[in-house]
Amino acid sequence: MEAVRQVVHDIGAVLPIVILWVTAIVILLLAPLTRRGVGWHVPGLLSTAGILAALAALIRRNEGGFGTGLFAGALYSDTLSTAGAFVLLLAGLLAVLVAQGYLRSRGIEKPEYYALLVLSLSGAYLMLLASDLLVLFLALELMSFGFYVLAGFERTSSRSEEAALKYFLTGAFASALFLYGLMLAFGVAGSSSFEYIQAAVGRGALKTPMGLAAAALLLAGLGFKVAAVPFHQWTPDVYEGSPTSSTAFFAATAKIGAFVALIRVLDMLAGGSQVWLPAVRLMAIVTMLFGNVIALSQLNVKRMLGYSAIAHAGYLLAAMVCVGMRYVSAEGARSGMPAMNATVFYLLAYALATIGAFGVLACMSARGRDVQTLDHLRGLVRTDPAAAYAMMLFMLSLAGIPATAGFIAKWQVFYAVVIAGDIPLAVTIALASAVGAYYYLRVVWYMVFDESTIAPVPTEPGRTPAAVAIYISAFATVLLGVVPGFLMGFLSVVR
Amino acid sequence: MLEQHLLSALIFLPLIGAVIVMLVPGRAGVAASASAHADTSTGSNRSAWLVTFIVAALELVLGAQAWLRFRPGVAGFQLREMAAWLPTFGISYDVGVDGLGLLLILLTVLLTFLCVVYSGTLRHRSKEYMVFLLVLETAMVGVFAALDLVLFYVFWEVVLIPMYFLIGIWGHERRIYAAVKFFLFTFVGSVLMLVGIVFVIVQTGSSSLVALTTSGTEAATRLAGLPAQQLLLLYWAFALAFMIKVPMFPFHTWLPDAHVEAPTAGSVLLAGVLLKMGVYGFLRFCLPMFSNQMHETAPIFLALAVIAVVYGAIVAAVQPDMKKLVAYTSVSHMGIVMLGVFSFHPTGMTGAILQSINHGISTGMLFFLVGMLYDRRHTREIAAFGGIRRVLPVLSAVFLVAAFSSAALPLTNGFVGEFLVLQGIYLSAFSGPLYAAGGALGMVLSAVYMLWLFQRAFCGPVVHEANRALPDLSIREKVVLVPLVALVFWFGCYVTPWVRALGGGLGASGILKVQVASRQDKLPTPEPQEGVR
Repeated sequence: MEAVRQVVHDIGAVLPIVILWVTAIVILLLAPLTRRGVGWHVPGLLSTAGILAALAALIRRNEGGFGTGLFAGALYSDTLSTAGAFVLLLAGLLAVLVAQGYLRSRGIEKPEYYALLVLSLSGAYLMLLASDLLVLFLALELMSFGFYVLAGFERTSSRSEEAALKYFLTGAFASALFLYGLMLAFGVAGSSSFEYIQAAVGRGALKTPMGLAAAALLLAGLGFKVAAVPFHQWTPDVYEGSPTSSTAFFAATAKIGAFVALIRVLDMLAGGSQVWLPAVRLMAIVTMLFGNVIALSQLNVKRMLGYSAIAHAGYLLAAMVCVGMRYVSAEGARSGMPAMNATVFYLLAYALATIGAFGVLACMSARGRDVQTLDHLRGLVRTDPAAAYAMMLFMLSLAGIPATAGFIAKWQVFYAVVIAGDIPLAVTIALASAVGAYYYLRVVWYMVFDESTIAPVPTEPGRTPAAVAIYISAFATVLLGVVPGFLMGFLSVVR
Repeated sequence: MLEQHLLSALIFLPLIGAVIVMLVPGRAGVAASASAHADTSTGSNRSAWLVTFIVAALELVLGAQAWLRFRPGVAGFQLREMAAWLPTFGISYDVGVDGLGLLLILLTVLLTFLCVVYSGTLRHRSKEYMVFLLVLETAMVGVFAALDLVLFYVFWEVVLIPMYFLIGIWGHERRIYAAVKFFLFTFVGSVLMLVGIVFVIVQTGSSSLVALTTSGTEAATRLAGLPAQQLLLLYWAFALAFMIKVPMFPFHTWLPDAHVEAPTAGSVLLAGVLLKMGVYGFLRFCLPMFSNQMHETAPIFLALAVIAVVYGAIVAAVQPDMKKLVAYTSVSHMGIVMLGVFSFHPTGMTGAILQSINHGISTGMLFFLVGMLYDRRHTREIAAFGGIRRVLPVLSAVFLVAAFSSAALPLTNGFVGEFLVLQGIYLSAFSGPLYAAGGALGMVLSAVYMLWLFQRAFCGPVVHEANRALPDLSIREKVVLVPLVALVFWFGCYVTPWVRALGGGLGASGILKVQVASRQDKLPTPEPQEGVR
């Protein structure tokens, strides 16, 4: 009886995931009915409703205090996973809204898209909860497989197919690395559970070659997912080639899932952090500089946002450095919690701005005209000022200019890094974001300053959901930039 | 209600106005119909302008109200308001003014109002223009009122965005280049300042300027207790941002581009207010927080300032483009202001602040006048004019006043400021007569370029036929210029009330507390207005 009660409790704790799964299955079951033109918008509405329900279930069950193990220690629910899940579901909701008008205008509105998107989202959600490497691996795969198909969803486009293939091959490679690391970790610790591995690390496992290799492979596997240099090569091609709505979705959600998982893994390895901390720090610096510098020359906005995604992975890795320092020094111990808070807030700000920016591109796309390059956006302000100024907000937020969420996020990263006493890293972040400001501003000047040509506004119906997503993102970006306090409490990892 | 929140009203009224302007119906600056011709689809929007005008006028009234409620000579910040903003990090919404801040706020609301009046004739995307102008006003007033480091940084950065658009949309041929250059220069400086601000907060546990600069508080003690090396780096992090904004040589290169390419209102506000933010930063933050470091590094800044004075003046003299000439005079004049700041002498610093205000008035006037000439002839080449004094007598007379003010002729405001600065530099142990000579050279050169400009453009016979039929100042243009002319002479003849306001202000920002080892302290701190009566 006790066991049954426990299972019921555990299922209740992961109720949002259950809701997502049910949603995906219902969409797939209804798919044959919606195939023939009638009720084409039902899958979109269903997935929106499903994610909203999951969000409601999450907020209802939002428990404070310390975390609890679920399902015999396979999952772990705490404030970090709750805050991360909130951000994740919000991102998923916005991405689903963006998808609805866009898919129709591209002629690829199929129910499977929404089913896969929701399943992928549940995979990312599981990543937040995983407290066992094996579960983490399964969650990672569940998330990634959806991404691969979504990337190649526009089957008639060779670029979309190329993106899918690239994403799949590099992703499979990354998974293999991760799996290999998992195996070695199992060999060292005798278990794949975080708890056991942490104990093994505490006994000096990272000083052995096998332990070291395990840690390196695990980090490499997650490094692929967050697009950290040198595991970034897939990013620009996949971002550019995939349908815009898919890019919007995985740009935000992959980062959320992978970075929260990274926090857990680094926490697990923290006992031997002197071994890997310099590597992660170097990775952060190279990633933010590389992403920003290469993005300077990109004229395709989707590709540019791909490099910008790399740059932002670099800033977030800087926060990871602070997380890793938790057990190293007194300053590090003080910087760990602010760094985690910064990560969650940053992911939220990043998700809003990125999905918003891709949303604008998606919203401007029409049959036979997929908006991708800066030239496509030329003079947008004259045809659709609201979209142009919303895009401006997203660019300013990504650049970290005050009065947007991006500034508060970057401020928190600075705060954590400075507490950790790593001033050179803070200065690097500052200079890298100054470089980044250039290409974000370039989007603005193409849209707003240039009046020589005029971007046509598509007149087809069905873009209302995407517009709603853009407005929500823009509003939230400003709100979180001006009065972030109201959400900071909810998002903070320590309460 | 308004009594307690006067400063907040001053800061946020324009923002509310901007939202109202956005909601104004009718032809949006950018029209919904893409097919229509540019001239008809993007026109002026009278109601948008009217709303902006009312808001700007209300700002003037609020500014006057603040001036009346301000008690000169009282130490500390007045009209203070505090509220929690980011309690997690101990950051609060904390605003207040002393004489320094209040004078700059008054300058801001006045110049913005005049810019709004001037821009009533704008025909191109005027609704957006008004929105950006109002957002800019909010940010500028916020900069001069913020007493929390992070709040200050937020306003400081927000200033960039509307100005970026003002230059980029309504500027001249190379506007995009100028807008981006302006943005990036300032942004690079300020992100490093942000690192400095975060460091200060982490080390002292406070982001309140008042706490950090009131000796005896925990935050101030911790700040002073930092290693000298760190304090020096921190000082540079702040100083670099302010140097770029002033701009000091060699960071001045964004200024001619931005000033020349900006529309008239943009140039006026850039020169009139934005440059002052740099001076303000030095006085408000660097001086009380990093007094020792500022004194140690003074030779560098004095040398750079003298270079800027002379170099800016020489480059200005040879410009064929009227607007560029005025832009380079800013480099020179701001050099004199920085000389005054780094004299660390009460007289010199008072002079520096007055000169900041004066420069806003005189250069603002010059930019307005150049803009008015441009409206008539669509060129800024000095060679395209010549002899227009006969055609445009009123405009020429006003131009002469502005030129005299810029060249610091006695009885004009420019003289008061520059005289005090030079006196301060001469008396101060940090600078001395050599630097005073450099500054004086700048004054001589300013007479050269200003009078030469006037001679070439306004005197002599009318060279070009196109100039014969130019209309003189319109009523609107007179409304813009008359207050500035009045201020030129008011400041030039009777500056006492403003200096009295600064007395309390200097006390609050700690300027008078600075230990001044004056070389010739036989001369007591003179009543600053003595020299011009």
